[in-house]
Amino acid sequence: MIILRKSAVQEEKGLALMEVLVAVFILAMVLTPIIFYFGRNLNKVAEVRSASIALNLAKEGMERVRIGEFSECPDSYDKTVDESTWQITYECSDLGTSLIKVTVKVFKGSATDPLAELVTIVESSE
Amino acid sequence: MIVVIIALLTLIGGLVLLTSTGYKSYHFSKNRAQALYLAEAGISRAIREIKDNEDHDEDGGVGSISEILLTYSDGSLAGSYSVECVLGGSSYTLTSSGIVNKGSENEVERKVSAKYSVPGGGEGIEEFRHIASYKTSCSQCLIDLGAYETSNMPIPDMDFFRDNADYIHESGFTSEEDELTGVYYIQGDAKLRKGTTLKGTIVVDGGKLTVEKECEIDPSESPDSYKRDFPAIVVYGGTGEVTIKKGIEENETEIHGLVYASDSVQTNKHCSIEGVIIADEIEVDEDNKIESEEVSPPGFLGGTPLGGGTVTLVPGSWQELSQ
Repeated sequence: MIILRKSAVQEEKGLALMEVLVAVFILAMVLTPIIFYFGRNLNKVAEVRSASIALNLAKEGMERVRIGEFSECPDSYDKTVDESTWQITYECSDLGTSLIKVTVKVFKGSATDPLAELVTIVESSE
Repeated sequence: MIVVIIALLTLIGGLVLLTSTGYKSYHFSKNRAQALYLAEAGISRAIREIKDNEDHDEDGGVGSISEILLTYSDGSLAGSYSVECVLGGSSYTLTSSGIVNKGSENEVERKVSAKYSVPGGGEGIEEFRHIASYKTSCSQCLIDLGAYETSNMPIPDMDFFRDNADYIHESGFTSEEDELTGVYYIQGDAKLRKGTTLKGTIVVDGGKLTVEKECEIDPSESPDSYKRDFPAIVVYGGTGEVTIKKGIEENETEIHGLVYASDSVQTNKHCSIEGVIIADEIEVDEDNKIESEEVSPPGFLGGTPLGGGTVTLVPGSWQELSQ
C-alpha cells in the first residue's frame, strides 16, 4: 500500500517526456504565426505612418502651388521629418489655354516610388 | 498557457484591426485631398473659359465644365471634375465638384463654390445687356453661335481716349479726306464718307457714327505704336449708335478691331469686322464676315471681360458645400 502511494505521488508531480514535447510543439505552432503577424503589423503601422507624413507633405507642396500666381513649375525641395529625409517634387505639363497640370510627388529617402501623389490644374499667370 | 495564448491572439487581433483602420483612414484622407484639388482644377478651367470667353470643352456654355477626367503621371485615374456656372449681376458663381473613385463604395466627392467678379460690374451699376459677338455671321443666330451676354457692359474711359487723341472735334465731324491717321475724338455725331481709310481709332462722345461704303478702319496701322491695339470704334453716350452702311461686293467695308457702341451696332451687306462687337443691341447682316480677335484693348474702365481680361475672386466667397 505504501509503495503504491509513492508511485501515485510521483505521477502527479511530473510530465512525461512525450507530454513536454507535445506542449512545446503546440506552443511553437501557435507562437510562430503570432510573432510573424505581430512583426508584420508593426511594419504596416510604420508604413501607414510614413504614408500619412507623405500625404501631409504632398498637401503642403500643393498649397505652395495654389497660393499666389503660378508662373513656372516649382523646384523640388527636401524636408526632414522624424530624422528621415523626404523629397517633394513637381511635374508640370502644359494643357494649352494657359492651364498647367501640376503633379506633386513625395519620396522617402532615395526611394524611386512616390509614397504620395496629388494632381491638380492651375492657371498660368504668363 | 492558454491564457497567454489568448492574450497574444487578442493583441495581434487588435493590432491587425488598428493597422487596417489606419490604412482606411489614410486612403480616405488621400482621396479627400485629391477630390478637393480636382474641384479646384475645375475652377481653374472654368475661369480660363470666362477669361477667354470661349467654350473650350465645348459643353455648350462658357464657364461650365462637363465631366473631365484627370490622371496621375503614371496614367492611373486620379478622379474627375465638373463645374456649374451661374451668371448673376456682375459676377459668376462657380460650383465645382471633384470626385474620386466614382461609382464605387469608396467614392469621395467634394464641392466648392466661389464667386468671381468681372470688370466693369459692381454695386450700383445699372443692368445692361452686353453682347460681345464672336465668330458670328448672322443676327438671328448671334446668341447660338457663341455671343456672350452679361449684365456688366464695359464702360469706356473717355478721358483716356481724349488724352490720347490726335484730333479733337467738339461739334461733330464729317471726313473730308480719303485717308486719316491717328485717334479722332469727336463730340456729337460723326460720319466717315465713302472710301475713307482711317489708320487709327474713331471715338464718338455723345453722338452716333455713320460709316459709309468702302471705308476701312484699322488701328493697327496707327503711326503711334502704342495706339495699335486700341479699339477701332468707340461710341459712348448720346444716341450711342454705330451704323455701317451697305458696301459693295468688290470693295467691302473693313473694320480691323473692336467695335463698341453703348447703344447699338448695325451693319449691312458687304462689311467685314475683324474684331469683337460690344453693344446693347447688335444687328449684323447675315452675309457679314465677323471674326474675333483675342484681344483686350485699353481704354475701358477695369478692362474688358474679353480675352485676357481679369476675373477676380470675390473675397470671402470661397466655400466648401459638402464634406
